[in-house]
Amino acid sequence: MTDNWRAAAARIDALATSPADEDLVRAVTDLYGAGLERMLDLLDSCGALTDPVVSALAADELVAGLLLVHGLHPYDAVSRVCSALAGTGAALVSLSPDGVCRVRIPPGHRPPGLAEAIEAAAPEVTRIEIEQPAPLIPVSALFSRPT
Amino acid sequence: MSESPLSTLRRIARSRGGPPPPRQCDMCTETVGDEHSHLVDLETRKLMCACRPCYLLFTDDHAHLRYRAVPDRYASVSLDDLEVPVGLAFLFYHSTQERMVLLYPGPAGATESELDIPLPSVPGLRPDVEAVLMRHGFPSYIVPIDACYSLVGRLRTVWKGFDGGSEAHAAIDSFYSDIRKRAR
Repeated sequence: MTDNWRAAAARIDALATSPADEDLVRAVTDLYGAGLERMLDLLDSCGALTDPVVSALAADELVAGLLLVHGLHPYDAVSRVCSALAGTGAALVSLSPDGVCRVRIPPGHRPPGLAEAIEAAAPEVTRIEIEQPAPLIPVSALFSRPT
Repeated sequence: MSESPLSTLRRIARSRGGPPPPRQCDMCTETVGDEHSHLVDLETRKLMCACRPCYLLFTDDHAHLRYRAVPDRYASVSLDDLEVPVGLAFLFYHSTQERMVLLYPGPAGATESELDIPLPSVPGLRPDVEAVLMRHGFPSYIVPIDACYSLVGRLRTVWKGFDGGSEAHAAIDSFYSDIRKRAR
């Protein structure tokens, strides 16, 4: 059961093709979403949703993905985007209510998979705008002849 | 944009299944209203929604065509009570198999009776497109076969237990009172 869920998710993509299929999927996801929400409420009322538990849930890709499907993720979009950007050198500038995400990346290269990482962490993002200052040309480069 | 694995699920869960698309004629794709006629496909036994012009192409009972228009006739018919073990059944003439077929509604849709009982022939019943609806203790009626399909579909969604339960009985009652009005 490590990565089987990816195959299961792809299978849903392939099978749910008609509006009637989608109605059925929606009915099932509504039920499971209600169950997940109830589960979190129960854990919370028992005092079991401690910070380490919450961060472990958020760190699990499948659990976090399903919580996002149902709008139940414990962290808000800004903190999710920030942790997705951690270590890439990119920084979040702003995230507007209508889902426009502005990201600043250092001059030079663009970190690969940036858009995918942001979308996976924050599906509410509708558009990504990237700010990248032009690289400064070192003065010495102006005097060197191309060889 | 590449999609994350759960993006389809998320899209479906978030959409609230907006208004259903307008119904179309299954022959010509013209938009038809909620009240429209049907054709029976004699090969697949499926009902097809039809606009008025397409419907009128198939109204001749004797034409050798694959499709046949379902008429809009409700009439009471006197018929001896059949020895069927269920409260509700309908009977129609299957022209391809050249025999009467007895069906009863249930949780899985309509099921054909496998009882070996003689089935009456009903004078004036149009093959494939009309059915005789029978209910214990009630008069029998000739009804359009699409009305039977719609009752069967309705019952499927509310059926509980062995005999259908109270909601199914209420659905049958309201269907019967509707027929009684139309059969006048």
